[in-house]
Amino acid sequence: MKKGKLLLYISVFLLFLIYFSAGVIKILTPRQFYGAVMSYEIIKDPFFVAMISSIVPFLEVFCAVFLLIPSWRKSSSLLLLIITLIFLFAILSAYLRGINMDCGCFGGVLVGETGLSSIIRNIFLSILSAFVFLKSD
Amino acid sequence: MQKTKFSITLFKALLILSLSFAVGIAYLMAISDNLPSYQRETPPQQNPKYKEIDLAKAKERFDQGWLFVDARSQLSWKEAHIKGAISFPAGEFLQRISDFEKNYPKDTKMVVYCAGVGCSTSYFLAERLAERGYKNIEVFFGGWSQWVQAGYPTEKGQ
Repeated sequence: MKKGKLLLYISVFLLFLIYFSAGVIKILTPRQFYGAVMSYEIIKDPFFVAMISSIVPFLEVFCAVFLLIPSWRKSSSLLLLIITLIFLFAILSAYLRGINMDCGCFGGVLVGETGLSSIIRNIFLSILSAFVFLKSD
Repeated sequence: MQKTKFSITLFKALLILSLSFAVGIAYLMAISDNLPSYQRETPPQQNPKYKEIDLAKAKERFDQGWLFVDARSQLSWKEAHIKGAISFPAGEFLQRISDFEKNYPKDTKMVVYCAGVGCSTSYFLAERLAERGYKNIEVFFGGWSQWVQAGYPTEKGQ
């Protein structure tokens, strides 16, 4: 197997693992993710917060699953890249506004504050998604 | 050729997005009773370090002259806040706590709130203040959105 192909498979596997588990955890703990989205103070209307916190987990799960199908890999990695950049923007903006809170990245199971570590993690995930997008047919 | 390929990629991405949207909305309808709706009346579990209070109790505390502490960002506080509330962004706890302690003794009766039902910053701040020895802390779980919806007094920050 070529080195590039191997790197692609590893990236796909990592993205699948991270986004599938993050999505499932959020689906199982809807209150925590709702609270996290509310705490970002970006969307202030409770109805839209509920909508976003219900759609995003499924988007993560579906993108993760479609990553495993080669003909759908480019599209799902494009979506993952977009949502990861949105997450990154939200976390950065919360960090800069002095909002210290659980980032909501893994629902109510793994609690992580909106600090530098979650910013770095999201940058890494963006690079990984961009790599899969560019290398997929 | 390249253009067609990219159009197909976009089309598939839209399909995944639509599927997520449809399932997400169906899921929301199924679990909406379990979500912390902004119309919720009863407080959730009580924490030994602070009490959680509903809108009616928060208004009662407001009328009694309790100190209201806004745990949201300074920007949100400047836009508008509960009348008389002081700004204490939870993320700036270490920078602000010494000033806070100088101005407010440990027996100060206070209500902490954040953006709305379910937001976590008020709980974070209440927890930290309790650790510093503050004993009379209550968290208004309905937060800013519920207060505004009830039409209770607000003001802009300076």
